[in-house]
Amino acid sequence: MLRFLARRLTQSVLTVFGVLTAAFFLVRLAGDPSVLLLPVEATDKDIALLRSELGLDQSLPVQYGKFLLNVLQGDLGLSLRQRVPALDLVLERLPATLELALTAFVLGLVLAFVVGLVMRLTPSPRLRAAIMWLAFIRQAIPVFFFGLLMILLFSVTLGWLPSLGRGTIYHLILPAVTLATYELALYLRLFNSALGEQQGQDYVRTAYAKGQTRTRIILRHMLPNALLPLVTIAGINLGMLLGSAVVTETVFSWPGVGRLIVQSVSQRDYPVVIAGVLMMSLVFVLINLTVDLLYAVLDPRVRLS
Amino acid sequence: MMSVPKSISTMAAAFCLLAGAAMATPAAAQSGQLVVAPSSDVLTLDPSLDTSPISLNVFKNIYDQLTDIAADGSVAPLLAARWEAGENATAWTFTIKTNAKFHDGAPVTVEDVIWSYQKIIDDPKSPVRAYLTKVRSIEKVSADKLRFTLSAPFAAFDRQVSLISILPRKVYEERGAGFAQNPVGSGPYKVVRWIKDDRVELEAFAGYHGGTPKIKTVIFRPVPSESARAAALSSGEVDIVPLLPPALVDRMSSRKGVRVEKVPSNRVIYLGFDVNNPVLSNLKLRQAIDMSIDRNTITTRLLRGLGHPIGQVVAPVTFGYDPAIKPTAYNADEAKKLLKESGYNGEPIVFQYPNNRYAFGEEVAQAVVGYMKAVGINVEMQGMDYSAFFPLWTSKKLNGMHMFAFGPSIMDADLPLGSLYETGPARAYWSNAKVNELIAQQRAETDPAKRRAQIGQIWQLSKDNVPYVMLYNEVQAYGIKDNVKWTARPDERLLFKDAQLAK
Repeated sequence: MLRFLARRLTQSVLTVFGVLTAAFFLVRLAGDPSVLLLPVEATDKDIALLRSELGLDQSLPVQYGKFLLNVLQGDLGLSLRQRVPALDLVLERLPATLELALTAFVLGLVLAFVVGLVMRLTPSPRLRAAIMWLAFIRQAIPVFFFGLLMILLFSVTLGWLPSLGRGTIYHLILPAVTLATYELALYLRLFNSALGEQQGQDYVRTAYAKGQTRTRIILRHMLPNALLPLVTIAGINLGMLLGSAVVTETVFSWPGVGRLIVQSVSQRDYPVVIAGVLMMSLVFVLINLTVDLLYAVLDPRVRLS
Repeated sequence: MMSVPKSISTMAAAFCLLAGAAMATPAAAQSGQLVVAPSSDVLTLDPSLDTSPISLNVFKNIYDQLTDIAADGSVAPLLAARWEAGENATAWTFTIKTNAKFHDGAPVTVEDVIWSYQKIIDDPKSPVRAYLTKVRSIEKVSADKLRFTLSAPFAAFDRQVSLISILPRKVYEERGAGFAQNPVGSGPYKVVRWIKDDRVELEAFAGYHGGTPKIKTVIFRPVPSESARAAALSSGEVDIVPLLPPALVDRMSSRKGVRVEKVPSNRVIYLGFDVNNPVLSNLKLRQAIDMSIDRNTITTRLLRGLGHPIGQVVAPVTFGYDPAIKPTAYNADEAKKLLKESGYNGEPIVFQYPNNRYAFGEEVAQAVVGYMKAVGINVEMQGMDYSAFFPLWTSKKLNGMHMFAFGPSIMDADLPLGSLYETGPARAYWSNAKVNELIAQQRAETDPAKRRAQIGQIWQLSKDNVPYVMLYNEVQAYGIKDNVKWTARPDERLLFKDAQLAK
């Protein structure tokens, strides 16, 4: 177990290092930020001065070396635009992103669980098909567009919910539902087939033979076994949710890390981009590590291989 | 274990409760509050660190500058009561008002003014510094007078100072880096709170020397998505949406409770040429391009009225506009004739343009190419992100034809002259001795009428030599709630000192 943990940890550190390096070179290759920071009337002299102040006149390997040294000391540099530590800007917004992603994650699972059970318990195949179709249609609509539809319906037409910003629980509803329903179809299909797989098992037949009701068999016996694959996929999806929250954050003006990174890319505020990417990759790696460890606890075969 | 049907009903009940509670919340319609939705948040509230227009909008409500640019393009007193230029516009003396106060009650002194300028000039990392490269020294003349000595003539310096916000030295030094989060200025509004990417909340400053603003609370709420901005205006969460794209103008004008106001801006969209390019060095070819474009159709049909054809690089509202210089008339036959005379032989012309910067920029570029192709010019389009385009412009690496725009914040022709015409500092490919002479003359000319005439001559020389093809003066649309009395400005600034709410 310890060796497994050590190996996974080493892999994680390497991953983060790789992400850092890739982020550094990508942003540097994307161009010189000093020109974009200055107003149009800036002369070549102004540009050269700012460039040397920012250390951008040095060679790329030298810049990279200095960057790594600073990172090892926990210093990701100052934002070029705001002149405050880039990491602070990211950490300020991390709670907003986590709040949205985790709410959507839990909501998505609960919805999948409830709707999945309704589908299994209902005697009507039409209802079952209708639910599945709805879930598929939802998944076929891009998040951006679906978000706007939600705003038009619940904010503009009905006036029930705020369409922008963060603050109260009402502000959370539209973005969370938009994000949560996106993967509902995937969850439902998975859940449904997992339940279907249990259907033919010996223990189910035994339960029927004992004269138990269908509802009771599904809830008491089949459900616990069918939940495993759902939980596995959900863990991976949490990471995806964090990444895809960018679009949702933009539609609903949610002040999160994704929006910060996108803005910083277009403003060429490199330290912020790198700090943002680093933070997201750390969260991602942490989730993966947790999932791996859970696997190892739940399934001894993983530890051996 | 709780039975499932029961838990479902509990959840359903919870959802109904949530929805019900939301319905019961009264709509945010308290009087005295105005919400405006720009596309992005300020980057900092420290005006000595940032020059971006989005930030300037907020700065101008919190801070005062020595002078102000009025909505009609003229220069007006603000912290300075009056000023005079001497020695060919190289010495500028400003007399400041004595009744101006900072939000903490301290008076605005000449020392604060000088310190604010010196701080920027001494900071090599500040982009604001580029506004002041001509300032050689600043000195205090008396308790209410200060003098700037410039290293070169600059007739528009009284406008240039409208870009520099005056900071309270004492508070700034006390708060250090914390100043940007909790700033103090002497403008009509003071900062209540800034929640990054969510809101900047401002409150009317009762001690403002220009009279207390009428609306108590002004909130800047950044909304990045265009459609979401329009939706927030429809739902009533937002009172003003600046810079509506042409596609949304019609939709918003037909909405109840919302009006769309259109204002001709200070921005001119134009095409530029590398006149040293072997193909584009041909004057007749450039003239043919100029005539091949139907500006009227582009502005009325494509832009739905959000543009007026123009023949010079400054807008009517900008100082230096010459009404005698008309937009080039569309004449495809004449263009074809010129093209034949030019000896152009179908060589491809590379056309680079930013595709995410101007309203309908991509569509306009396509229309331009369509017109050029119609008379037989072969164009190769290269649309790109503005952040990729701008460095190419700065380093003069746009080696064919390009599309760009100028909208000088100080609403004076000097900025485009220096950036687009003057040999040496300019990002220009065309160089003309007479033009250089006129630029130097107008810079040292303190008589506005004479200066205007000199600038007009430059526009005529430009029209004769076609280093640029002027396209149109951008008209901007604002979505405004009916109960808000507010007039949009030509320079995109969002100033709320004089805004009012109808009862």
